[in-house]
Amino acid sequence: MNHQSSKGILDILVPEKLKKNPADFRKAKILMSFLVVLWLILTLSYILCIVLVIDTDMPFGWSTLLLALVSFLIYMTGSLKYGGHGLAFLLMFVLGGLSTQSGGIYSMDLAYCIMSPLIAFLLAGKRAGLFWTAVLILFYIVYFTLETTYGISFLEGAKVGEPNYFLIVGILTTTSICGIIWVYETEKNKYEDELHDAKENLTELNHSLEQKVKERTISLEKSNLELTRSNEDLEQFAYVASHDLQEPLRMVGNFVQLLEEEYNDKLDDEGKEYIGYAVNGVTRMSVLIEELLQYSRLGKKNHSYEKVDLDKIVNEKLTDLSMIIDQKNAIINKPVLPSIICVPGQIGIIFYNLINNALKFNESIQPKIDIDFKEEKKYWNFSISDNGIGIAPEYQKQIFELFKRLHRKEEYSGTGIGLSICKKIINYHKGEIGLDSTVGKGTTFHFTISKNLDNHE
Amino acid sequence: MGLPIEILLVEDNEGDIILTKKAFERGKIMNRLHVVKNGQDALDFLYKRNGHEDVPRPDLILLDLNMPKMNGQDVLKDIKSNDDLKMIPVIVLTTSNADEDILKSYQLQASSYIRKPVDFKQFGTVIQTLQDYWFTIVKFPSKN
Repeated sequence: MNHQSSKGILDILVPEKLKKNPADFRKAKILMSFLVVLWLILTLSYILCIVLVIDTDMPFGWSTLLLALVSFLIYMTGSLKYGGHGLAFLLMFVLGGLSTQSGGIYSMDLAYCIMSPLIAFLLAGKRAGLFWTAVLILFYIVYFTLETTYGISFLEGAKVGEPNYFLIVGILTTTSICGIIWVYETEKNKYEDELHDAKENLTELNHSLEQKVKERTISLEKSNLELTRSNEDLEQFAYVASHDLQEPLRMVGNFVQLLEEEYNDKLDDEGKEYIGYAVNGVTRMSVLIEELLQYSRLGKKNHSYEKVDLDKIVNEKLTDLSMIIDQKNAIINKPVLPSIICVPGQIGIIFYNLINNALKFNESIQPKIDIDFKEEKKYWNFSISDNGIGIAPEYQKQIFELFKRLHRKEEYSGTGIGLSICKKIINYHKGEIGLDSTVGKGTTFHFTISKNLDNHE
Repeated sequence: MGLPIEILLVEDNEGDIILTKKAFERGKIMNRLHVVKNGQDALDFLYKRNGHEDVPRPDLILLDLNMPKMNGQDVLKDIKSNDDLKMIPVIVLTTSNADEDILKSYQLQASSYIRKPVDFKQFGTVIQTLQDYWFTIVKFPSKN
């Protein structure tokens, strides 16, 4: 289809209303071309008859008028229904009228009347086709009766019996052609209906799909927003914990001590003991807040992996622990540790906590701690062994849980967060932590740090 | 040097004001502790305006971060953008241990960042160390 053909004269003739539906448009084009051609032929032959001064006994005038009426009807109503009926009527009675002059029931014009229901079928639908078939059959019967009874035909020498034959053939032909068209139309309509339904379903499906995608997107955006908000809340909480929770605690701690110092002579031993408990509680609370904060800050998005000198970091941690090392008279054995890729601020915490535990949970006269490492293909394997009190097998899994403690605070101080922090950091480094321990003999903690850590993952 | 050391404490918490005063009282160096309770007052004090016309210029500023109205970081920003005032060492003395507070303070050119200890004995040590460092070890430009 090109644009030029779609802007031909027929398109101008087809009413706007019929242009919307492609099927109607096609039908209207057929109808209009039919009308135009018929009209041209009739008009030309009429003019020729006048020019050549031939006797114009045929109803040209009537047919031209009827054709004009039909086109006008179609154009005004914008519907093929009236046009179809009109054309069927025109064909039947013009051709039927013509046949009275061209041989009556023997005229070919009468056979052409069969076009009337066909046109009705094509343009105005099945019902119109059926209607005009019935009209045609009735017309044939009436015509036959009139012809045989009154002999209105101009053809002479008609034989008895032949009209019956023409009638039967006419009716049968009309009926079978109409039947074929009926079946064809029905099937076509069914197919078109199905196609239409399928298209509609598809559109509906598309629409609902789009709607679903839209809904999902909205809910995703919403939960994203909530996540961002809860992340912000968490950070806000971390800040509050680091400042607002610590401040009142600090007040209590400081003033209780100030009380002890400034009113020393007014306090008896019991009073001083109470103050000791208060200061102890405040200090523990402060450490707890600090460690919880450290735990909650792990895995925050802004941590990045870097190559660090692990030996230097662990030595720094040993310096931090020097007081307890001296107190316990401990020996630490450590080879020169490698440079590894890790989160610089986190790796030291593992060593600090594990060494601190090894010292703390140790009743030996001389605690002995061995730090060691092994390089594997895909990871680093570190171990920290001690000769401490050991951990019974049934508790070995629990110790990594948050706030899990195996001893009373009076026996061994601590918050129960240290190993949870270690585990979280190690997980963040795609590693694992585990232990071997014998009660009374000592414990070996070993953990791995992956060599395949990527900041862009 | 017979003149006392002038110290400006910017602190909104009464408890902390008392504690800091106590800690300075125990110090060996003669000092005068001036206290203002919010950021706006601190700037008024430093610029000698709004009732602070007769105050001395401090030798050292102890600055808390979390304060109502104008917080410590805003005060710090203001001090460090003034050619004269920026020579006064500002020590951020706060409860916060948040990385972002520490980073921000040094970015704004704080001389040091000190976290207030929970333990009063430690607090005394901190103040003592502070005095020793800033008034016996460190050399300042001449006052005239």
